[in-house]
Amino acid sequence: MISLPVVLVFAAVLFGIGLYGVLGQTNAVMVIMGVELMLGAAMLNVVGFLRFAAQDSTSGAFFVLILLTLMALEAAIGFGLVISTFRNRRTAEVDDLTDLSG
Amino acid sequence: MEALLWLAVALPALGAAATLLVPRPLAGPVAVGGAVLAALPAWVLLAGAGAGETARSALLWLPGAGLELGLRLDGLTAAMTVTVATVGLVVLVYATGYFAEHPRAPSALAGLLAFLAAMQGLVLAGDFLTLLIFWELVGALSARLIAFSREDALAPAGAVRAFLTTRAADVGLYLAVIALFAATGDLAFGAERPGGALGALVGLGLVVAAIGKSAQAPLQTWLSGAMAGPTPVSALLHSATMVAAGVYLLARSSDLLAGWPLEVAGWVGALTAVAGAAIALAQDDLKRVLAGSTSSQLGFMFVGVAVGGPAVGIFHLVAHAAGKATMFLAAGIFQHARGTTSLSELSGAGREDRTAFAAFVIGAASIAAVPPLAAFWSKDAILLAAEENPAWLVLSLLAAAGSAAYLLRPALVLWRGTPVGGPRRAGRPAMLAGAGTLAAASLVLGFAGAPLADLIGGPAPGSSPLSVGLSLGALLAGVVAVLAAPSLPPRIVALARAQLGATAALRALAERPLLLAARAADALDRTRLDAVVDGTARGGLALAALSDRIERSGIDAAVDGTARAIGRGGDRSSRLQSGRLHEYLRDTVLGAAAVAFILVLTAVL
Repeated sequence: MISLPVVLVFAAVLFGIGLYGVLGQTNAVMVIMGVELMLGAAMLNVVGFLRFAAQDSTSGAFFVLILLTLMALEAAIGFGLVISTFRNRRTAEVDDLTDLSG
Repeated sequence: MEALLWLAVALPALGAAATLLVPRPLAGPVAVGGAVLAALPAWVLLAGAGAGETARSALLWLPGAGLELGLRLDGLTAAMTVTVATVGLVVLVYATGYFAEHPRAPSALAGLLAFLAAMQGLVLAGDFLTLLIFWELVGALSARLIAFSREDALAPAGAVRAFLTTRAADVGLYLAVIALFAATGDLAFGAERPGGALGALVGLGLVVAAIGKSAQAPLQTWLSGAMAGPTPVSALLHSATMVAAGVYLLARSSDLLAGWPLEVAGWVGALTAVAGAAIALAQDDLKRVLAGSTSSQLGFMFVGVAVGGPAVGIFHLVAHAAGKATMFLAAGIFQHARGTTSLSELSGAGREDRTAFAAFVIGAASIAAVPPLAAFWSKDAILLAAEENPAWLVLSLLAAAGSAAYLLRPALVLWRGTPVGGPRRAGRPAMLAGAGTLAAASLVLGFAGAPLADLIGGPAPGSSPLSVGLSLGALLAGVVAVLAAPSLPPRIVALARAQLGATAALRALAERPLLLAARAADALDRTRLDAVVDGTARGGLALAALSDRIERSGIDAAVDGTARAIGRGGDRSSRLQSGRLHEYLRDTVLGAAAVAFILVLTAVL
């Protein structure tokens, strides 16, 4: 039986995997994927609370819709930048992109 | 009359300025015009004084002390101002000829006019303060005129000696004026001499100032040196006017000096009359003969003021001014012709220019007291008055015999000597006119004695059969002596040329001690005062170094430290911006975690 704690634990694991992806991966694509996972975990949290704790809340549902849109936009812009960078520099490794160092 | 007093001083000064400002060819006429204009008020003043008028005009000088700058007209000033203005006019006419070819002629003419202005101020001065001011001006301007021929090394040296000697004696005038003011609080003429030490200082100071200005022994040496100046300057300053200022001072303050100061002046005058004659006898330079003669004649005037009163002294002053200036002007014509005043090179010059020689002889005869010329009567008046003091009478007779001798000698050389070769220049008309005018004055001034006594007051110059006899005897003795012994023993010549030891004595008594004192002061300066100055400087440097160190270690360090800290902070914070995405992300995560931690903590608490 799926309950709120199960959802929350799953979301936490998902967030952890995403965090690892963001911090540990060197490829820009993988970093973006990590961000997607973290956003997804956060959305799962909201959905979980919406399902088990506050079924009458409309703002929760609204928030989920905005998150979905945000994820789509983030993926589109992020991958667009990565492709553009790759075209210019033949690399998508974030550690090579240090032009803005102080 | 008041306006005329100021005009008499201002017109020559304006003339001097105009002479310098107009174009060069006009300088001569303008200068003569200035002298004519300057002589007019003088003659009007004489006419006024002759009619018994007196006037006084004063500008407030120091209101608090009641000091005034004033001019006055009385008989004495009228006689002096006319003498000065007239001789000045004649000399200026002469000088336009004398300086005609000189490149700095306007400067010389302007200098003579400026001197005239100062001299008029001196004789017209209404009180001792004004007298002192013009006395100084006369001294300064005379030094400038003596040094006019600056190409000649002797001229500046003579000017310096003349200036310093008269300056040193002028200290007496300062002391006298200060003492008089201290004692009476008033600087007007004609006061009684105050008693005590201040009175003594007044008497002594005035006599010393007169001795210096009138080239009396032992300060007579400057007059010989001053002969290096141009001859018109010698004629105006060193025969007729400036040197006469000492006699004028005595005459002016004869009330103040009554008693022992006049006695001192009389002794100095009598001794100088003899010493000057001896010096004049031994000179080989025509102008130096005349300089010695001037000292001697001024000595006569001192005696005259001392025994006969102002009128007697001033009578001889006027007669001597005419006669001696004539001789100087004639000497200038010979100098112009031959380019020298050395007697041995002027031999026979008189025969080549008989007009000038005639003027010279008239002047010389007057000074040597040949009757009926002017100085015969004035000298006679002095001899008559000196009968009451046998010592002075003997000295005066000796000097009178000397006068005849020392003037006959150059006259003989000028007339009888064999002319030496060399270029000749004829005297200019202006020069001959000047010498002729003054020679004519020598002829007629013998009648001036009684009117002068009326004008000035006091006993009239007179003569008695005895004094005339003595005078003629002295004249004869002098003439016979020269004809019998044309040359003096060399030892006496050397002694007289050395100013009877006055030069050496002055050097030993005045110059050496002064130089030693100057050296001592210099040493003191170096060792003590310089040390103080250096010490102050060193202290200042140390203070500056200290404040520099404070600034470096304190203020600068603070400023630098702040800048360095900011720079270091900037370095450090710029290291945050590594450009590495992962580090940014790490920081973001850590930041978010910290925010979350705080949120949780606040929620729990």
